[in-house]
Amino acid sequence: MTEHAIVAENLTYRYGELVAVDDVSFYVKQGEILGFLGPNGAGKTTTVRMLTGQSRPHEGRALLLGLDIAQDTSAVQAQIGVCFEVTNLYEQMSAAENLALFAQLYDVRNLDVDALLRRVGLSGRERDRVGAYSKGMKQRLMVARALAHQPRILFLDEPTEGLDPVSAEAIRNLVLEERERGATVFLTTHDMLEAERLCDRVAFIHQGRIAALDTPHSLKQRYGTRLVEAQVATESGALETRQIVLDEPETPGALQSLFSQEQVVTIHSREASLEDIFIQITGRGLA
Amino acid sequence: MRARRILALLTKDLLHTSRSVIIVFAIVIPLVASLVISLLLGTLFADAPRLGVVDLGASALPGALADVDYLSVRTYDDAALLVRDVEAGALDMGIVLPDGMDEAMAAGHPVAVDAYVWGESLIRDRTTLATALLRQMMDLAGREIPVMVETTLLGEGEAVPWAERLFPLVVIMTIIIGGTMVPATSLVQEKQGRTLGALTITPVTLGDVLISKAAVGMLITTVMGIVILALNQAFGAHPWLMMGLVALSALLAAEGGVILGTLVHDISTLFTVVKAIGILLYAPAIFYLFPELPQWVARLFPTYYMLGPIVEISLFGAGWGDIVGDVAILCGLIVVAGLGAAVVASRAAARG
Repeated sequence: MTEHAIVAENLTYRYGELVAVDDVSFYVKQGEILGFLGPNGAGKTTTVRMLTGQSRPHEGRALLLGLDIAQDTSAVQAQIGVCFEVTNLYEQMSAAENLALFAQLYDVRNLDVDALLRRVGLSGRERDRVGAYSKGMKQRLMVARALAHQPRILFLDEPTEGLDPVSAEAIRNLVLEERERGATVFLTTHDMLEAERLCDRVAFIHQGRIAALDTPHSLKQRYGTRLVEAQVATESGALETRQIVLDEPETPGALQSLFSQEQVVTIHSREASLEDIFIQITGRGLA
Repeated sequence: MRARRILALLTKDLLHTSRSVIIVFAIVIPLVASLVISLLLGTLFADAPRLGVVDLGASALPGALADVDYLSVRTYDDAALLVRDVEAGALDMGIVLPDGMDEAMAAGHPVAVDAYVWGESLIRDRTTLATALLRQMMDLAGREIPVMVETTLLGEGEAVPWAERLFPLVVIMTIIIGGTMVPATSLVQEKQGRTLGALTITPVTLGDVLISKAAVGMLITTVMGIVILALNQAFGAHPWLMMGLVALSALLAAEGGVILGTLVHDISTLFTVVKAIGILLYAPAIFYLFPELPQWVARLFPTYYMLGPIVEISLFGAGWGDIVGDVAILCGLIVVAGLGAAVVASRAAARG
């Protein structure tokens, strides 16, 4: 059994003259959650489309569970679950009917629809038409659909985008439960806090290329700057902010002078966020 | 496995998209059109074909004809009265049997029969009457006999009644709405609702989806086609052949629907395209509607081969030998459309 659930080798995809994904290579270990972070148009969705067999790479290849997705598309697709960013449920059908249909397509016998819907917090609404669901409920149902056949790899494309905190939290918990089950998760998100909380490693994609790929901790170690941020009261009574960079030779002296010469009102340390690091690496934000 | 997935998709379409407007149209429009035509033109629940007989001798034929359960036979003493009733539409056909006819038939001599046909009678009734008449004469003679029928058309009506002119239009509507529009609309709705992407990310291929869509269209069209033929009592003398023809026509229409649905991306464009090519789809029915137009032109339209064999059997009493050429062309078109659908599908799959 291969150690890597996903191996991307020199993936390239073009839309006419535009190179959307440019020679991208990475791997995802079995049971790992990889966060794929980047601004709109960076190439995230195109990469996911190539990895899931929806688009054929113009160059390179993607191996999932040791199989080339372009050659063994159906065999691979039987073992992956995909939750799309945009709702694509049968809205005239009920949640139970949606799940039952996809279970049939994956050849899953005896799917416990009630248990699955309970997991995503939709218990009691299984007979309602999906068209009457809120966005959060639809998103949770799409996650449930992606889990119906207990996939070995789960692709989640912006699963919490625009959701209320309760729905978003329910989905995050499901992602963690899936990792506990042994599934590999490929998560694309804009939400840096979510990525930090869920992902074992994160990849920054920018202009179709991977700009950095490592654990959140390592990225912060490598690129982040630790600060002490203090609010001080001036003689006029106004508040001003002072920032002192940690890990510099002059840091102890600067801290000492802060406390001896200024009237410190509040003080706290601040670690660089993934977004800060993304900006530092790529020169632009994630929005 | 693949068959099971296709069956699951087909069942989903039949059960859960049955409230879609186009499926309602596919069922309701042919039924309503058929009923309206029947009610307006009085062909619904029409009686058995009505035959009047004047026997100038002592033939056994009137008695034999009276025993045929699918005919309504009335005997007359006076040929003038018979002609008057035919002119008034009280009879579909009246025949005058010459004196000594049975003896002439028994001797194998040619027999001449005068026949008066009401101009507004249904062609299928005329066909039924003529067939029954010749069969009974052969039974009486005990062998093939030469019979000369001198036909006179009476009454104010046109040679082809309106009910029969409109019948091909109902048939082609049934085939096009059910066979072409249902798969095309369903496919475009899957694209617009993005559910097609959700399906093709599973082990289901685009080909499986297209086959299931075509099967839904074919199934609805075949069932509705049989219902329409039954309502119009239009199975002719070959009901099984007719059902086969309906299924073949439905298959060609469904292939067209799949090609259309694969190429078009939204419902508005689909309906615009169908409106634009509508005249080409329905043209053969227009030629049946106006028999004075040169009928050979209808054969230039592919949809003629869906419609022609069915109409020829139901209205004009054609047999297998009469339509075999058209059916061969229909089968050829099915193969070509199938290949076309496969090419379009593989290009769409490659595009993602």
